Amino acid sequence: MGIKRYAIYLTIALQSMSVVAGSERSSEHHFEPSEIAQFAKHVEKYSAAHRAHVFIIGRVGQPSHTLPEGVEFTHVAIAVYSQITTNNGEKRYGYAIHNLYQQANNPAKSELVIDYPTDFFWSVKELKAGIAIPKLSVQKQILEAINNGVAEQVHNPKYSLIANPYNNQRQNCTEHTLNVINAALYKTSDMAQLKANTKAYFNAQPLPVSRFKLFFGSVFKDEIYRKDHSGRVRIATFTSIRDYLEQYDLLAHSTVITPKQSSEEI
Amino acid sequence: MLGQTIKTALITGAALASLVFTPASIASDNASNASHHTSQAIKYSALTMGDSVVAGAAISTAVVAVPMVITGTVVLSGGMASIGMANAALDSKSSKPLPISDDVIIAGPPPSAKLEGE
Repeated sequence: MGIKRYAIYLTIALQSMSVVAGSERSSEHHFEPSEIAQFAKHVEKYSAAHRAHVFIIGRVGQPSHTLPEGVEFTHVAIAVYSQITTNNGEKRYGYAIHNLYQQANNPAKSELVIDYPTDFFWSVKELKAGIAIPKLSVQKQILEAINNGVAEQVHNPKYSLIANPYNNQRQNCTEHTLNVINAALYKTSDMAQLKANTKAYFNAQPLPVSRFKLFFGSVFKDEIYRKDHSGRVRIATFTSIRDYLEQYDLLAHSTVITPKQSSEEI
Repeated sequence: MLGQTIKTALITGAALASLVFTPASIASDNASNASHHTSQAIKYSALTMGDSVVAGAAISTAVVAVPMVITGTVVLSGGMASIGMANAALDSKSSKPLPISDDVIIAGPPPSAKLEGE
């Protein structure tokens, strides 16, 4: 291979590693703050109109056309209808979003953070939200689990962007969301039991990214860990979690919200 | 031959460096904005500056969020019960939307920022 061709191939391959992941870690915003806040409120009102007390929410951290096939959202969390006390002591009603986020100063570690819809959508590259509302009975179980500290019990702070949801070696936001759902359904936080059930019933999304890219990613970035996978890399995604809920008759409603949706649809 | 090998190594190094140092490389979308001490203040300013304010909405930072407990057909938190908000809209048999505040609520600063201020 000529030097030029080799250089071009290598550069393209490395730059295209970005398809594995979402956007850069940033507090930058790519839309007007008012647009973000309005969109966030739109998502809240849509969910409230469907009387969702608990739902799975997804966002897009990078342009959709750069995402691997089968991956529509780059971050997933659980939204919980809550009474929110503000800094001036007033009570407000809306959704608090229960996230697993990478630590800013150590991206190979994660922490559990509650934020709010405007925070959640602040840095997105597209104003687009995935919404999966479980049936009320499932919502009750998830809520009970959250109130009993199950989210903390099934949290593994060792982070990998491409964590294998079938084992607990590393964890990302989607795997944690799936863990909380399953812990709630099975009423256990026993990780061995949860992973056995996940293997039996959950269809993870194959990630169509070459071994070459994953190899270089895992070499240079601590948060990309390949060793918890044997064979093809498969990950939990918003879509695979939604499909899982649907397959086992646990889903009440799902949709994708964009600003183009008119208020009449709510 | 040796020169070509060195060139190849240099090009490889440059390409790898571009991966490592390009901000948009393999960064994750779920990095914690909450742990940036200044980000919430910047966000608050951006939301309140000039015509950025959402019409008619106050901007508030949250101190705590208490999930509504679903009991039977009604969703309640202690606070809601005490202030008489356990109305028909909250009955799970109701078709009315759950109440949502018009305020724009964002997370407060991380706990570490509280210590820095003292």
